[in-house]
Amino acid sequence: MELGTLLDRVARGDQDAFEQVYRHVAGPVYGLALRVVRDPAQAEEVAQEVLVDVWRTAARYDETRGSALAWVMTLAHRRAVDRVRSAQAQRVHLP
Amino acid sequence: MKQELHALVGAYAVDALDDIERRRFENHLAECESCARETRGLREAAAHLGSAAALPPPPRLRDKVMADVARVRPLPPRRSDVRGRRGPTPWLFTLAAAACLMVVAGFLGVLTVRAQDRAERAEAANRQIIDVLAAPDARPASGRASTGGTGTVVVSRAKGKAVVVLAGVPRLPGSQTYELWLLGPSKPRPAGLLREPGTPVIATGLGDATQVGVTVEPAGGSPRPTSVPVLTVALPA
Repeated sequence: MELGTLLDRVARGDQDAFEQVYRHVAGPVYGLALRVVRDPAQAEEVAQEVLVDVWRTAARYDETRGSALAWVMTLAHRRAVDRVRSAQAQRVHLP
Repeated sequence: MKQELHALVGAYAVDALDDIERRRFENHLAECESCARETRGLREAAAHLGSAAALPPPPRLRDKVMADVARVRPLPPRRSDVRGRRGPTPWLFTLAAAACLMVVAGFLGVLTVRAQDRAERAEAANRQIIDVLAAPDARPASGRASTGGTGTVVVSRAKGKAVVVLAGVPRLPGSQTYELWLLGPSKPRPAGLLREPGTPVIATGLGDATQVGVTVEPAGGSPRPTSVPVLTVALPA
């Protein structure tokens, strides 16, 4: 089933649909997170946050603004950016 | 003013604007169909480039996510389409810009390299790629390979450069390589080897090329194509 259609079902709380979404996007999301944060443990945390975001905010996906994959990758990108920014901010504040 | 905003499409699509610029650009997007269309195209290309770098996550990730999912309820659809903002962080601007560069590089799935010199070379390649993606005239295009898989191209005519990435194409034996060609009125020009599917390659000196093509060649590449292209993609004018 197509990712956009699955997201519609996820928005209504369908966990089976979410399992299928997970199979589609977990690899791309984890790959992106790892390349950005460069640490497997942190990439796993970022991927977890992103995938739970997908579950929580599926209703916010608007198909007129792009494909479902682009939406998921944008979420992943944001989360990974946040992680890198906060890590850098902490480093800056160290004496 | 308008022109200046149009020029931000590429940077916006790869999330390289600061909060203030982004807000201005999003106001502009609401009323400029051509920028909205370009943004969608570039986002799709970036998502494609990003997913070409997919890696299998640790199996325990699935259990953790499903455990969270069982506890959290999905949000209802919201009425207005205004995107929620995390707090603006102007003092972080320089850091953020640096982070964005790293992030775009990551997004493109450039291999993580540990050795310093390799890292420096990768940085230089990343900068070239970002340069094309964020160019005001950057345009995406893609095509299907006859062998299965796809090729995605982002072209900047002003810079005479294109970023090309293959995804889902068969891996070749060590004795062969994918080679990229610039095709047009003049004879095919070699534009680099695609040794690692999923890793983007920069083609420079586009000139009057109207298409890019990919052939399978003996390892090391050939000065002219020796086989029928497995993929051709028409370049946006």
